Amino acid sequence: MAAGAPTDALAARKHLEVHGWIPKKAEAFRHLPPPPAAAWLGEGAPVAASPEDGWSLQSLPGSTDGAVEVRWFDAADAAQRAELFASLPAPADDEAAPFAWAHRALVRTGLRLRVSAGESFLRLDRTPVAGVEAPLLLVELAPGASCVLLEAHAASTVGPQVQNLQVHVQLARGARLQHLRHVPAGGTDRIAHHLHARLDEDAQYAQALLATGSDYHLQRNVVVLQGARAAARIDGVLLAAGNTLEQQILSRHNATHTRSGAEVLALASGGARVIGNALTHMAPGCDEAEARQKLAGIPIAGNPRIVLRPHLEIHHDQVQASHGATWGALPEEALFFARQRGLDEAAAKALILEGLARAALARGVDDDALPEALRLDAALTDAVARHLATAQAKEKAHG
Amino acid sequence: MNTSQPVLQVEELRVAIGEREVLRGTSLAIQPGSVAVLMGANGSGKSTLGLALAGHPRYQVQGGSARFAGADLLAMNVEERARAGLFLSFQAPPDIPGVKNNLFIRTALNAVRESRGEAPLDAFDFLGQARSSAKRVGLPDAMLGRPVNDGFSGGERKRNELLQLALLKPRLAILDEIDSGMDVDGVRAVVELIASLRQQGTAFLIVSHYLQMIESLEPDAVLRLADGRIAQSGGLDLAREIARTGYASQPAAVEA
Repeated sequence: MAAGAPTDALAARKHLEVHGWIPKKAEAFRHLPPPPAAAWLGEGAPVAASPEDGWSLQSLPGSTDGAVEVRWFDAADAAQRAELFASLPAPADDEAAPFAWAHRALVRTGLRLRVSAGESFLRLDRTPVAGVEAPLLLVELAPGASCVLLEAHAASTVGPQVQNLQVHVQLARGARLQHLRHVPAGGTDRIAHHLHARLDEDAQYAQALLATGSDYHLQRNVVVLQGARAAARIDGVLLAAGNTLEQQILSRHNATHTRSGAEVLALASGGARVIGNALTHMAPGCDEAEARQKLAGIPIAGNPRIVLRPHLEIHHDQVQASHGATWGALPEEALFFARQRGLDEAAAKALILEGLARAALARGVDDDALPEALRLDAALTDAVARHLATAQAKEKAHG
Repeated sequence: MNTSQPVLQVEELRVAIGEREVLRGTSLAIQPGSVAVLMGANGSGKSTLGLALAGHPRYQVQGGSARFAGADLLAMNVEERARAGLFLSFQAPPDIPGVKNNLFIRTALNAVRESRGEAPLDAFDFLGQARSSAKRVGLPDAMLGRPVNDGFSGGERKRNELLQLALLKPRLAILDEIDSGMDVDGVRAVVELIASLRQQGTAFLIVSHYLQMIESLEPDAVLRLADGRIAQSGGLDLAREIARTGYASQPAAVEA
């Protein structure tokens, strides 16, 4: 390890020691307090053998030749580490900051994707390489560039996984990123993904997330709409059967005519705890900004706890904002309709649930065909089937 | 009318929604391949009869019996009734976001086929049949690839019901105001489909207020439901009389 890198990592660790971990009563985390700092620092955990470990990138047909520059960074090397972090903001002074400091203390590798122009279709797979890891992903789009990115995580097959992932997305003027994310956690995994996106003028960011519950699973998104007319939309489909899952979507409008949308569909069963947390902040001067939040929770079986928290902080008059949260059962008429056509109750439920989730994902990226084309659709079918099977097994076990 | 054993025999059926008894002793019989038209004022229980026979969980059977193709219909769950060949077209068919129409109908059709011990249709064979039936009922091909009833107009929803009817070929179809929201071509498609399926043995119980369509159907019976009972039965003359004078002047149901 080059000189300098340990100092930086040790400084991050020191920062954590001095400032402490996330307090149990921290507002942003009060419904699902994260495991303590030690869990994310991974003392004694094996490190990745090489920077490339874990990530696998594929350019799909239709991509503009030479538009994507891929670079892996070894964060143990001082020079590379300095370059890696040069373009990133320091950890924000917010309640999630301890995760960022823990990440800096542990990060070993970083992957940067730079899309310079044209259109790119990318598939990025991530396989865990260590019991405790802190991967780093940077996605940067140059002015006018367009990219469809499927980020697919594999659940650990070798035991409990602890993963503190930081993703930084930077979209220059007029750039467009459609980001499909699939995070199927293993039951005993502890997952915390933090996505920070910054959008310049006319940039567009759209995310569709499919995630499943685990011992601890947090998906936190902070989107800053910095330039005029920037638009962001994040839709999440959360499935938890007897375990936990939280999605946080924070949208900051800092310019005029900006638009944001947050939609969460939480499907929960057994004793699951699922939290959908949307916070939109509109700064003074955001003329004609628009924000929409729609959070929905459907208990499938058992007695899950679904917490939906839509929040708006508006500091300007000339804006439009709406928010809503609904808790409800599966649509009874649709269920009866499907059964009246011959489907048994379980098949009808699965079909309707899958449909609701598929529609939510398609809305996220504003494209009906994209989830299917990138096989996120197949992952969804699998996830819903597993969820219902788990819920049914747990119901039987409890009589 | 065919004089074999009725495909549906309802005796003294009493059905409640919550605390309110809507059907108060409805009796009727429908023969295979026959068409019966059910008329009645708003709130007389026409939709309740269809939904109760189909097994909707909100409609509680308080008494009476219903035999379907010789079996106890009321002992079956919703899907068992459907698989036995009972089809209900909905007055307001619900949408199912995110589920493509062709996938939904194929899944339903294959569930019914499986229950009859028939091999499932693969996507290719199904699509051929679905396209042909869609054309027959005037539903554009593109509707097959869209989510079930999502964004469909009222008429398109009804045509989609007809499409499912054409593909499922049930023993008995209960059509609840299938003509409402339909244009002239749609009503013609309804009449033609009913005539065709009737030839193949499907029986129909049709709820309608539209005399012109009722006349086109050449029904075997016209029934008038009032206060939860069959108050009158007859032929087309009864339908014409109701169209002329309305329900208010009709005799009340005879107390049992």
